[in-house]
Amino acid sequence: MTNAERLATLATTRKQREFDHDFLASWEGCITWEDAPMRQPAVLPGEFVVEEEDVLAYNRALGETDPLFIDPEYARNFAPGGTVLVHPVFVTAIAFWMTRPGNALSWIKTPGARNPFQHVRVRERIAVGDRLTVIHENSDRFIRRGKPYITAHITLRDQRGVEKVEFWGTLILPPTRDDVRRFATA
Amino acid sequence: MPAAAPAVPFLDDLQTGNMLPGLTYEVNQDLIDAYGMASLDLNPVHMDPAWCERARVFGMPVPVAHGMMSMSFMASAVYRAWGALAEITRVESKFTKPCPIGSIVTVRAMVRDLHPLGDGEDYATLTVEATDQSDSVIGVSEIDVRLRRRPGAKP
Repeated sequence: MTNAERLATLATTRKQREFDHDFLASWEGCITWEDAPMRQPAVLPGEFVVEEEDVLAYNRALGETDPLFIDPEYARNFAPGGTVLVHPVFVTAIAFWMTRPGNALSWIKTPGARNPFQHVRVRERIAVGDRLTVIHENSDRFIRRGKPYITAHITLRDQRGVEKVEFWGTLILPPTRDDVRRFATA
Repeated sequence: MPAAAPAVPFLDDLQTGNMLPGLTYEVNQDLIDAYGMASLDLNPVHMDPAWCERARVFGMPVPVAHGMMSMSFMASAVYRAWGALAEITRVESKFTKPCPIGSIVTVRAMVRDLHPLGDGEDYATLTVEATDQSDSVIGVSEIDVRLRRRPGAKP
């Protein structure tokens, strides 16, 4: 069984089942540090529909204990909005779902990348049922201690046009395409 | 009926230096797999033990936990203490050391600042630290939580 086949057996939600389980298959579609377009805000194609099962999977993975996070029936009776509550770092799932090979955010799937720091700002809590539009730009790239860093600024707007979350995601990327290839083909 | 969740405190009930109860978890492949699937971050540095043995991204032959998982657990320390209704408005995290399989991570959160701004904008800032079993820091966060004032409270 390949690792992708192993991961496929772990899928419990529609998005997890539909997601490409072979992370390395599309490595050539990852835009590099050098080639990433900077400060060109754009709406990513499509939208992220927040399903209850997505939120439950995230909250349960973290071992959350509050029934407002993990018990849909309890949340129907007691949660504001009547649905299980969303964790602020759930934005990770949104970013990975919306990334496609070749788009300006595709570098988040670079093999060999490292995660130095992240920043999430919540204006209004994301909720089950939200249909989120993702506005993305590569807001900065810089060299620190000889390493190439790149930052995405992601804004999430709901179906009413309300800005709910801003997310600044930074990674240290392998310096060259050859370095990426070395990790991708390891 | 599920157990009652903890209640979100009023800003007035807090003092700088207050510690929240710690949260401890063990990093194993099942936890990483569950988080990776839930976050859709299937990077092999987390999700593929055989690849890790070959690639050694962090100079080690085993999967490491997602930084976003550490970040999530640092926010979760607030939820475990104050319940899911705690209104986190900012999480800013820095990851200082890779966290390989086998790590036992403890998350400790402390109230650093109180911000009695008024007009419903009151909040507390917490500093959160995640350390491994050798007490090395693997990640730190600043987390803002919007909090209500007790009726009639003065700044």
